[in-house]
Amino acid sequence: MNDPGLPPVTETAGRIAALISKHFDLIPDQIDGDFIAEEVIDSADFIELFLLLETEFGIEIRAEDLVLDNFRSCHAIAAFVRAKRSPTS
Amino acid sequence: MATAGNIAATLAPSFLRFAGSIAVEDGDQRITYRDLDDLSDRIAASLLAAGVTHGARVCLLMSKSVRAVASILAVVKLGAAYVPLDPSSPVARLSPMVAACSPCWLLFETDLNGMAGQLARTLPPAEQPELVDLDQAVVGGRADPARLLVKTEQATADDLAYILFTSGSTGVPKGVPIAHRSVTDYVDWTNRHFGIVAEDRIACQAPLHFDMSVWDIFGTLLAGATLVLVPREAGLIPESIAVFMREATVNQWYSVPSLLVGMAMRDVVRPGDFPALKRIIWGGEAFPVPELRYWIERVPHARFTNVYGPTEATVNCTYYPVDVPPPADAKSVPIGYAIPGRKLRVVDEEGRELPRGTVGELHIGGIGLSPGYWRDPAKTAAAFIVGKDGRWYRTGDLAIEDEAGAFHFRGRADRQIKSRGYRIELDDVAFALRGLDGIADCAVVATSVGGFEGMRICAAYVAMPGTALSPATVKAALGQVLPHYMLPRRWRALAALPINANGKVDMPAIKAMFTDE
Repeated sequence: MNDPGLPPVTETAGRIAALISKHFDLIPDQIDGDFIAEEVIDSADFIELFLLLETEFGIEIRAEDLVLDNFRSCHAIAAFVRAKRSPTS
Repeated sequence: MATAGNIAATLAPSFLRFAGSIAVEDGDQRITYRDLDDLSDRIAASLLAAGVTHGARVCLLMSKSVRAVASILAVVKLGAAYVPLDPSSPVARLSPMVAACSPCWLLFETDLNGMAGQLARTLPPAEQPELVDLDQAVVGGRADPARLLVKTEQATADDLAYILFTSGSTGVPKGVPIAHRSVTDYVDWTNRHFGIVAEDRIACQAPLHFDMSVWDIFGTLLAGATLVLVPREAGLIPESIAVFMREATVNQWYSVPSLLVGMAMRDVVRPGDFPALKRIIWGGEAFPVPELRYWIERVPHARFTNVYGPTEATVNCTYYPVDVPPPADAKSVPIGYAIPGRKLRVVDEEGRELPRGTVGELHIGGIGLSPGYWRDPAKTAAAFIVGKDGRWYRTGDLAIEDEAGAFHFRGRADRQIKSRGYRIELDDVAFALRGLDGIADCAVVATSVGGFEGMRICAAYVAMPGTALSPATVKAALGQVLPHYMLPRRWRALAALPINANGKVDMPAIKAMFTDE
């Protein structure tokens, strides 16, 4: 289900995948999986990732948003970004 | 008494006195002192049956867990040395460490069976370790108390307790062995200094291949306290660490500052947070002053202490209590004063001791020094010097002693850096990068970015003619030979490396490519 005015999750996920692969120099195999289980992204990357998402999507990531499951994959991040941008959030 | 200063003998009274108390907590799993002692006896019996003898080396391929703590105890009980291997590191990185310890045993967590086999197969038959499966060691180990007691009594304070491998500038990790005596002396002083009591819940954040875990584990067990293992995933995101610290009600937190800095940067600490927290101790690198001030303001009930020390000097050799918030314009806090029994001096290039107020190289002497690099007399002779006033370790760290007798860290004169507490030789990274297929040339530098990362590793490379290599491809290939924390975080593909007037690679020019962010 899409909120009016927001792009679909898959489109946002694609944009996030492009952003992350460019910023962290990752190959497609690394982008598609679970960042945490596969240890693709470490604690320093996460700090950078939060800033990157805030700048790119104009959102503010607050302490309560910093839950691992929000950042486990491109799709999870897309869903999180979308929820943050939704006028109802 | 022959066993005075031996770890197992030193901890034995705790296992009797606190038998029913919780020794280690890992999520929902808890183990009492009595059961931990039994578990380690069983593992020790299996190791003994597998041929581990006094003075042997047992590599541990396992994540931090109750069983890992029991395995460490089992090895030290036998008077053997444990060699913790990071299961997150590529096999190619670990295999020279195992080869260096040969002949040796490899005790592995059953889930890492595949990795253990792969690791053994990378080595020639003569260097292959004897494999011991931890599940089988636990189930099959039938401790014969009399036989174990004999082994424990053979162990002395001069036996090696562990060997830790650190980054080496020639691309080969250096083994740093540490004797039991150094561990027990350090833990004894530290526990007394910080007033560790049996009621304490001590967070164990550092991985086992990081020597911070040495005090966490042995300090906790000496005091009869509870070791609370911090899950790896909790360390990834600042809020997860805050949630862990709140829910686990830990009384002591000891880690590299980067985790605490990340928490400050994302403002996840509430005023008066973590009411149970009595002590925050950090080491491995500098805690930036703004973030330290944030912590002291938010958690005023805790005591803050900076500690410093290379692996070669057993965990730490200095301490500095931060009793009041440092001024906002202070650049750093001192590394402080020598722990009793340790000696510090600042020397010039000729090794002459410098007066207070002069920057020079920091040398460490006294109790706690490693006997030298494992099976490497040349590196040992270069780094450990013997003078009329005893034996000294040349840290390579620049330092200055102030008028009050406190020492301050002033950087490095060489290409060793600290990144999130990890000690990394940039030439170790460059060596691995240069060895990749398709790489014609490369240069690895570090830039100071402050905040969470401290120093950031950056790499420029030139691909072989006719080869197109993206930074992502090179980084992924490098990840097959180096652990994640050693991978450069910024990359440039160049047609040629810049050359200076002397015909050498222009490192300042390369550094400048990465400092424009």
